[in-house]
Amino acid sequence: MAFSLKPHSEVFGIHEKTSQFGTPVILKDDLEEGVEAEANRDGTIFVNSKLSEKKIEEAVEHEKVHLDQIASGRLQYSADSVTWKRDTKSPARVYSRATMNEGHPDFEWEDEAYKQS
Amino acid sequence: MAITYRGQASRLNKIESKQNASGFQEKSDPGPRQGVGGGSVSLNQAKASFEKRFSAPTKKKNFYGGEAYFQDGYGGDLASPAKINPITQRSKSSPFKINESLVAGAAVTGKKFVDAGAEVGKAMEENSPAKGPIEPAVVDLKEEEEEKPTNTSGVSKDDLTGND
Repeated sequence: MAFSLKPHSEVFGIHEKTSQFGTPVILKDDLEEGVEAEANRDGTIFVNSKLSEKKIEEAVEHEKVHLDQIASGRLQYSADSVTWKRDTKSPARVYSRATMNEGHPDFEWEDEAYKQS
Repeated sequence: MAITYRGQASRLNKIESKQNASGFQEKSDPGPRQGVGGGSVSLNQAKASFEKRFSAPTKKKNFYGGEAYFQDGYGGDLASPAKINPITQRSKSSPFKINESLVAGAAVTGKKFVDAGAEVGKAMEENSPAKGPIEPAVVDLKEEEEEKPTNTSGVSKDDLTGND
């Protein structure tokens, strides 16, 4: 009996074009309303599957900046807080996730990501 | 009570046999359990805690495409990775996201950064003395002196000296 195997990217919902080793881009259709993409601390990037190819690429570029910030130890988050350290000389600031407007471009890490992407 | 040599020897033997219950290469006795929880679970306890769960199990598609009952937390279609909503979704959710509405909102609300230094500089420039005609016009003091009468009091020199 013949059968065809699906490519693994299709099985796991991975966006192959933008994915890299260690930073898989996963297409999701259950992200919060209005959210285009988000970078996770495990190195994965979730992208809204309804976006166009161009938008996905832009969003991934932006989220990769956040992953770099996390990798360099300047940015980290937990279930209830976000910790940001602008540079080695500045103190670490802890923001409560309950009160912050997540993803707002006025945050320094977002501003940096928008400038670099 | 006096301890005889034999009694003492047998006592020491007992202690030694206790201490060396396992050889030095064998795993030592774990000793009494420390901390809370992790003990043996009775079936009745497990049943009681299961009954406490507030949501009824629902029938959903499992990872293999079949159907199974799932309790709290799990949501979505487990057969499709894009639709799966694992029990740890809340803790997984990242705060570093691009939110379309927030980005648009920031653009509408206007400036996100005001250069306070530049603003102060502008204000200073407007009121600066270098710009306004605050400095007095230049006057030739010598000319003024020549025009002025030397005695402004109205009393002549002769009056003062008393010469009529």
